[in-house]
Amino acid sequence: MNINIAPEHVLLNINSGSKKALVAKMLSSVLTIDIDQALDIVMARERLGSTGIGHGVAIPHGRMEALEEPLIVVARHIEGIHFDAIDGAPVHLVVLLLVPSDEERKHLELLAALARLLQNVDVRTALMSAESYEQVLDIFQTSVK
Amino acid sequence: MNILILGAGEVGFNIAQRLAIEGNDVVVVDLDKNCLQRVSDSMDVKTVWGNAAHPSVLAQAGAEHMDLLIAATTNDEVNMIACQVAHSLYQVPTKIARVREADYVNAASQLFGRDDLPIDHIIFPEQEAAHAIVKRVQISAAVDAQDFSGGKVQLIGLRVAPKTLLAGLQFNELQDVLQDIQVYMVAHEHNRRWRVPNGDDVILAGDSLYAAVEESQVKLLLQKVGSACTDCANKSVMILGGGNVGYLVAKELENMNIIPKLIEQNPTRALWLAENLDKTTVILGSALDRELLEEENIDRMDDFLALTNDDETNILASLIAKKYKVGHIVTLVNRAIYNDLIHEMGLDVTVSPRLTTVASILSHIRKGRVLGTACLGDGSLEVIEAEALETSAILNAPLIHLNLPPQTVVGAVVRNDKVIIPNGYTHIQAHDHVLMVTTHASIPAVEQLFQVHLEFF
Repeated sequence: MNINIAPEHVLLNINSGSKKALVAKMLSSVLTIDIDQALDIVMARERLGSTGIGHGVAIPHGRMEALEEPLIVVARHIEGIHFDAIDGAPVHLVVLLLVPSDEERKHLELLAALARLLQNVDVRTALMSAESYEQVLDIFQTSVK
Repeated sequence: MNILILGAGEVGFNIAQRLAIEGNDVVVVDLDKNCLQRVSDSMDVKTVWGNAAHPSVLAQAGAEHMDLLIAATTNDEVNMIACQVAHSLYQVPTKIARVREADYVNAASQLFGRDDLPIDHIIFPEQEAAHAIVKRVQISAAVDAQDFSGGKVQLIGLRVAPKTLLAGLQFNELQDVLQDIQVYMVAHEHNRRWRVPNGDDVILAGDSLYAAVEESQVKLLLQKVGSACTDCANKSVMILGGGNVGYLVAKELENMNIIPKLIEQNPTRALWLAENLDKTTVILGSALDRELLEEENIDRMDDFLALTNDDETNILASLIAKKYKVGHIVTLVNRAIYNDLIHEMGLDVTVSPRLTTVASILSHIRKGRVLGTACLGDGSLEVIEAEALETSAILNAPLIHLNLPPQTVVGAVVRNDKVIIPNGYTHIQAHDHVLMVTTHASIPAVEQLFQVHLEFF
C-alpha cells in the first residue's frame, strides 16, 4: 500500500487547546477542500465514537464526496491533548484521514493499516522524535507495506 | 464537550446547570452582571461579560475551542448574528439558537442552513410548549404523551386511580392482564420518586407510570386501564392567557375544529387576538375572576388550559377549575421549584417549556446517532432514541445478555418502520431505532452501547 503525505500536511509542533481547534487547524493546512464541511464531517464522526485508540494516538476520519483520492494530515502535539480516547490518556499523535465517498473496501484497509502501524511502540517513538517532514514520511512509507 | 452558552436567563441557566453537572466544560456569556453572578454562584462554569454577538467577546469566551454553541439570549438578532460570527470566525461545528419571532421561524427553511445563516437547530420554546399542550388535549385520558420515531411509538403517562385494573399488580403480571396490547412500562413513580421499574415492583393506586406503546394501540390501552377517551371534535376548551403559548395553542385547536374560549386580561392583546384568530371566542377579563369564569360556563368545560406567563396565576386558576370539576386541566409551569407542590395539590398535568427545551438541546449533546431525547416525570429520567450502527456494542446479543447499565430499559425498537415491543430475547440489529429510558447517572454507559469502533466510516 502506498502512503502519500504532502509536506504541508505534516505539522510537527501543533499546540491547539482543544480537540476541535486541533482538527480545525489540521484541516486548514489543506487548501483544496471546503474546510467547514470537512470539520463538520470529522466532528460528527467523533460524536459517534472517539477515534482516540489509546497510547496517545488518534485517527479521526471521514468520507467526503468532493475528494479525488485519500488525504492524510499528520500532527504532533508535544504536551498532549484531551481527545476522549478509549484509555482516557492525552493524545500526542493525530493522523487525520479523509477519503472519497466510494471505494469503501480500500479505505477500510488504509485505516486498518494506519491503526496497525501506530500500535507499534517503535513507530510511535520514532514519530515523536522525528525532526523533519522527510523523517515522518519515511516512517510511514517503510512501515506500511 | 466544550459548550458555549449565550444568555444566562431561565433557559440558559438551566441548560448550563445541567450540562455542567454532566461534566462538560461550559462557558456562559451575558450582558447582565447580576445574571452572571447567579450563574457563578450556583455552578462550576466560566462566565464572560459582554455582548454575545461581538467577536471579541466570543474570542474571550474561547469560541475557537467550542464543540457547541447555544445562543439563548433574549434577543433574536443577537442570537442569529452570534451564530454567524461563531461559524465564520471560530468554526464552531454545531450551533443552536433560540428564535422567538414567528416571522423568522416561518421563513426558517430558506433562512437557515449551511450557505445561509449557519444555524443547525432552532429552539422555539413557545411552539414546543404549545405542541405539548395540544398533544395533551388530544390524548386527555393520559397525563402525558410524547412522540418518538415520527409518532410511531408513544410514551404515555398514566396516573393509577384506586380500584382500577393496574392497581396492586406487579410489573411482570402486566402482560397477562393487558393480553393483546403490547406495552413496555419504562418508568414508575411512587412517593414522588421516579424509577425504571423492576419486574417484581408493585403498582399502587396513586402511582404514575409511563408506557411505551405503538401508536395504533394507545386508545386500546387507555380504555383497558379505565381512562375514558373523549372524542376530540366536540370538546369544550377554555384557555387562560393569550400570550405566545396561548395564541399558538388556540390556533392549533382551531385547525382541529375545536373552538376554544380564550381569556386575556390585556385589552390591546385581546384585540390583537380577536383579529388574528378565526373562530376562537376571545374574552377580555381577569384569569382569577370567578364570576366571569362561571358566566363562561367553566363547569361545562372538558379541558381547562392555564397558560399565562405567571406560574402562580396558572396554579391558582387550575385549582379553581378543579373546584368546578373540569375533567382535564393543563397547567403551564416554568419554574422547577413548584413541581412537588403541584403534584400534591392534585394537578396532574403540567407542561414546562423549560424541561422541553432542555430535552431538545440534550439531543445535540448525546453521543451516537441520536434521533430524539425527552425528560420524563420530574425530569430525573431521560429518554434517548438512537440508531444502532454497525460495530456498536448493542448489536447482535439478546438484550438479556447485554448487561444494560443500572435503571435502564429498552422500551421499543423500530425496525424498517415496524414497532417491536422488546423482551429479553430481542436482538438489536444495525439501523434499528432504539428507544431507551435511563437515569442521568447511567447516560455515559448508555452512550457507550451506541458508540462505534474505529473502523466505522
